[in-house]
Amino acid sequence: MLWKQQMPLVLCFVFGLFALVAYFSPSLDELNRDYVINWTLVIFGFSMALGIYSLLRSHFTKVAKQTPGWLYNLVALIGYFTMVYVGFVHGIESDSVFQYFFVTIQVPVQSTMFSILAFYIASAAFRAFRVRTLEATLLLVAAVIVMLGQVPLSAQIPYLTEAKDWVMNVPNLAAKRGIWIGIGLGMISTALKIVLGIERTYLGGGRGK
Amino acid sequence: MYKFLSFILHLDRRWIFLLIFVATMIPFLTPLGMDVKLTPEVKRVYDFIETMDPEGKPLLLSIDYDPQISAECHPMAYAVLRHAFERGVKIVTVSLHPAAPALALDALETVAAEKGAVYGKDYCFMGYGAGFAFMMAKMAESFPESFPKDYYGTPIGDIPVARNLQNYDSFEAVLTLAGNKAPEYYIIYGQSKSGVLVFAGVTAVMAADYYPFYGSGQLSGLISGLKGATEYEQLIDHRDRAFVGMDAQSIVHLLIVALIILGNIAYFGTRNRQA
Repeated sequence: MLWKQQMPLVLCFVFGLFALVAYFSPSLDELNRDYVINWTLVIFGFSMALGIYSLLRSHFTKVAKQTPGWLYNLVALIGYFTMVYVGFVHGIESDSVFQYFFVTIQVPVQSTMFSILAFYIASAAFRAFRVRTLEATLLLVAAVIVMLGQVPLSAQIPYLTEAKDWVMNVPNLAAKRGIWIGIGLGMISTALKIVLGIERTYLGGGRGK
Repeated sequence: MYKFLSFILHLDRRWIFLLIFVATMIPFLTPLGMDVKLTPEVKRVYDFIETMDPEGKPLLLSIDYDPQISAECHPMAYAVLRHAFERGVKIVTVSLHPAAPALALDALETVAAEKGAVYGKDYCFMGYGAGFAFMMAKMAESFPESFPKDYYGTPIGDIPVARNLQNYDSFEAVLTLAGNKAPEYYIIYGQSKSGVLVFAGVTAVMAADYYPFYGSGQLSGLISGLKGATEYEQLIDHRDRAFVGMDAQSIVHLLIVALIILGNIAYFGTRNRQA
């Protein structure tokens, strides 16, 4: 109970309050920079190690139990250990095997995965953009202006680039500012709830438990 | 007519996929290479680098994107590096995304070889700094402590372009190329606390999020998506991969607009009969 509940709550309260005050206090900010940020960077390093351990354990378990699709897990493990091996043994310079593998395998694979989105977006736009209501029509018109304004063709159509700039700089800016202010207020209230121990879901239990 | 409109309305998405594929392939056979209209936000990035003193402070280039969005951000890195090296502007590069160093290295080495820039004298690469926002906060305190060695293991004191760096004040500006929250955190820990100018190059999807920061002056310039990269290539008069990508994007955007119009015609054409 002490280690799983009370200690994290006390640490969260102390460091949360410290970070809040330190942002506005030059002397405390120095302390924050000298110690707390360094500790955070160390914790960040450990979290990466923990992530690698968790990833490997998950893949190893699936391969060992030969669960459906275990061959993909095996490919992931081979990929991981190959990159670790070539990185540590042959170096990571620009003419290294590591760099060659990354640029010729990882980059095209990830880019391809992301580019598949274009196909789904095109299909979704075809089905979703319908002039059904005033709001839907406004959305459609704005989308068409921005889509055409984002390509060189807009330079050939009078006022299209200006219209796209207006959409981005006026309605978009106004809406985004509102959203950002809302997010900011939400973050402040959530942070206060966590620091004061009202919100405890990060401890693994339910709210207020 | 009703049959045709009904067919369009219920068009199998595989036909759309095929159309998109064909549209993407067209520019490879017949490149368009159309000029883009310049936007003030991209021009401000260009103008800033154009007026930087080659003997002055370096530019901190933070390459924070992964391969997933490299189609948009990698051309930006190439174009900005070409411009900077052409003018003799010093560049100190860091990566705060774990998948970014290999991309940063690719862009740096390729453009440096092309422009004859010398490692250590004209540019350097400090590698990956774990911690993301915390690393940005750490850089505000001490750059040498944040990156004591470069990507190749050379101590920072032995790198001429980086040996005198202290914190954000040692840089003329920060330019982050990212598809994440890196520009926002550079504004929090760099611009608002140290007053350093922050420029950003982001994906087109993320650009809408950063217009409020550009409007408020917290971002001094913004390269948005492939269009922004194409503008930059046009500004430096070196048409490369952004222009190639822009051709494909132009045709695909046109196709999507045509599909939307066709879909609406089919929707209205069949609505009364369905009712």
